[in-house]
Amino acid sequence: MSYITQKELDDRMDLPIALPVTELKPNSWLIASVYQIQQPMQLTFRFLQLQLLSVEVTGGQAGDTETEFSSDLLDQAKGLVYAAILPDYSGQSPYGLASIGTLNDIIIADKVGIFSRATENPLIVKGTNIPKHYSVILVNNTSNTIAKALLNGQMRLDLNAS
Amino acid sequence: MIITEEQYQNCLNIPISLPETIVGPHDSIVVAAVQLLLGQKLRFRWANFQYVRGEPDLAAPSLVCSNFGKAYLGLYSGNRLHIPSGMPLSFLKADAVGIRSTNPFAYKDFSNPGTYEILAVNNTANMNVHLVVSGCLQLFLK
Repeated sequence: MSYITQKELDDRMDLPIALPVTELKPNSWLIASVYQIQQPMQLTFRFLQLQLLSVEVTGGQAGDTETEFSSDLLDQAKGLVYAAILPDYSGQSPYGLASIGTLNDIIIADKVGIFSRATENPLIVKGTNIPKHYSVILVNNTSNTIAKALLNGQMRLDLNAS
Repeated sequence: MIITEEQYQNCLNIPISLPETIVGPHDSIVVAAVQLLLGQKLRFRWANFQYVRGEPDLAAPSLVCSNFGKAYLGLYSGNRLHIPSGMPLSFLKADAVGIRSTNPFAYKDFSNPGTYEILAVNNTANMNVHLVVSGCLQLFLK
């Protein structure tokens, strides 16, 4: 078992990813959190939960649920709602933009429920010479549903990781 | 120097988090508030402030405080909390779309008892602004 020093503790902080229940209209998205890092900083992304509370079809019939309609997915691989980390994102349409990490780092909700990132393999992002920012965004991946979702998670920052 | 369990337990990370939010003209949002007691220390460690866009996106809007850009993030303490006075203890300002960060290696510590608040402020009189804030306050209990 190793120990940490006071300096190591001072150089380390846990940053929130916190989005209370929010309604996302069809074909819409929002930024949940943003972090700008550079050398020698390092972000460790381990834990994120996405809860999809409800999905309402626009123009659907009363009583429709997310299992009874054919939702128009804008990106076929990413479910009804997803959360991802985009590099140097400035608020434009996120559809088609590449996120960092692997598919494990994109939290996909394809039905109502809670979806978590697997915590075993953290994603480590090292700062570069040029400041670069990373945005956690939540996306409604359909063109015909209104989704209510929330995000909870954590990003660990090491200020002096070199 | 190795830290003790007690030192570790007395250091808390307090989140600063505002997902993308529209702030109206002359308006502000309290993003975080901490009441500091005697003997405690508050460290304004790291904040990221993103000005996503304005609606309408005017190049030269009417500004409330001339030196604070279209929007700013301010740390306040004192009697007139909830109201952006234009005299924050520390601040980040946005003149244009983009992201600004404090320097986490040059943080500020506060130990005067009282309430400290972080406000995201729309500094214009005629625009809505979309703002995002992420960061961390550190509270040392002893």
